[in-house]
Amino acid sequence: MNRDRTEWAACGKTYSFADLAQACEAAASASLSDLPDILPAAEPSEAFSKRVERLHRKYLRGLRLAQFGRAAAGIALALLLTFSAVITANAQARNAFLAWWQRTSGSSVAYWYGRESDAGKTGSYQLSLVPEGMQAVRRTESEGFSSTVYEGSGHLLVFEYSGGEEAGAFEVFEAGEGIPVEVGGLPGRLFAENGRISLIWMDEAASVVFTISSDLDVQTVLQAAESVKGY
Amino acid sequence: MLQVYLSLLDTQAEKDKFIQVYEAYRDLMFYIARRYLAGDADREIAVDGALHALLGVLESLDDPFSTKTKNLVALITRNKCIDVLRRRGGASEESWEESGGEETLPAKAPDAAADDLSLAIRSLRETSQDVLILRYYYGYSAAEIGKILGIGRDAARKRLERAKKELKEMLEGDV
Repeated sequence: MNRDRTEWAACGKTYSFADLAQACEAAASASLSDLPDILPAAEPSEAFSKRVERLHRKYLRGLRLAQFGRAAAGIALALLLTFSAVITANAQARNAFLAWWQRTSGSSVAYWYGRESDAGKTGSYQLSLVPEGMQAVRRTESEGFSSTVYEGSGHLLVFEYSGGEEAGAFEVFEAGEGIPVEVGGLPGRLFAENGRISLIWMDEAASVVFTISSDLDVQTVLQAAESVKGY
Repeated sequence: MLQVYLSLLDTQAEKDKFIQVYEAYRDLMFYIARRYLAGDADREIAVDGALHALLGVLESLDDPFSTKTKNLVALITRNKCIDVLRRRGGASEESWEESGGEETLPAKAPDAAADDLSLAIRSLRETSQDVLILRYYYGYSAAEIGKILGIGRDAARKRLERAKKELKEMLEGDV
């Protein structure tokens, strides 16, 4: 946090940052002074509770990716250039994909899609080709969301998918808009950030967003992505 | 290195922070929303917006159960309620900023025991109080305030400048 240390003058007096902080603290506390001792219990709707659950998942994913980015730091970003030849894209697929994501704020980009879905319950998916030497060490599932962590040979790979209405995908990147790719004919994007390769792709027909984050090389990540199958 | 990542991820306190904040302040957020908004749907929109904003500052909250956190939750919720009211009224963010923002609840009369500066801050309209509080009590930058309030950095900076000007006028007895 930045702090403005400049003193502030008004009415013939000079106030320091600490003076303002103290006065603001008193003002903040005063705003709640008329609260009753016991607040009535909130009774949010079921839809609201589901939104909170989704937000909680978003929080956990953000936490996980942030930790992952730090853990994988040091892997060369140049990997991306090496494998640019395997990336294919066409304008139609890219445009379809771009229509799905939403928010850009400053240097960070949040990837989401939110839309009405008539695809019903989200199916189950898994990697049919797990990178050599890796195995699943954790699997988390809840309504419309699945996360599997693979670990081995000093590497990590996280495969996630979410579906249904307001499905969310990657939370924050600071690696620009990524590179358009196709995964099994589906539009996607590839990002490289702090030694982490991140891939997002979407099956619009099934209303599912898939993501893989890994410190493995791009080709291995793409191969793993291509191997995703429903079961 | 990867084990470090996994062990950090497993830290229950980190995992639970969002839920702790939500469960601790859910009733407070809806109570505040009820003071500003009439319909359940609007209240839920405001609380939902507040939770999204809180998610962005969760890392900066040292203690989810402190008075400081409680005040921040209240402040953010109040602002999201005002935001819903503004949208319902059809005002754009720009026109809202230009008009200085309508007050939805009158500022409460400060108690006599408070010092001059605190009294003056509490006499300002809520939107002005809030940016000052976010800036000086919580130490957030204009960009962070913009993110919390959902108004963008420039708008936050303008609001902050306006609040300081109003505060100065208040202290100098021009208001």
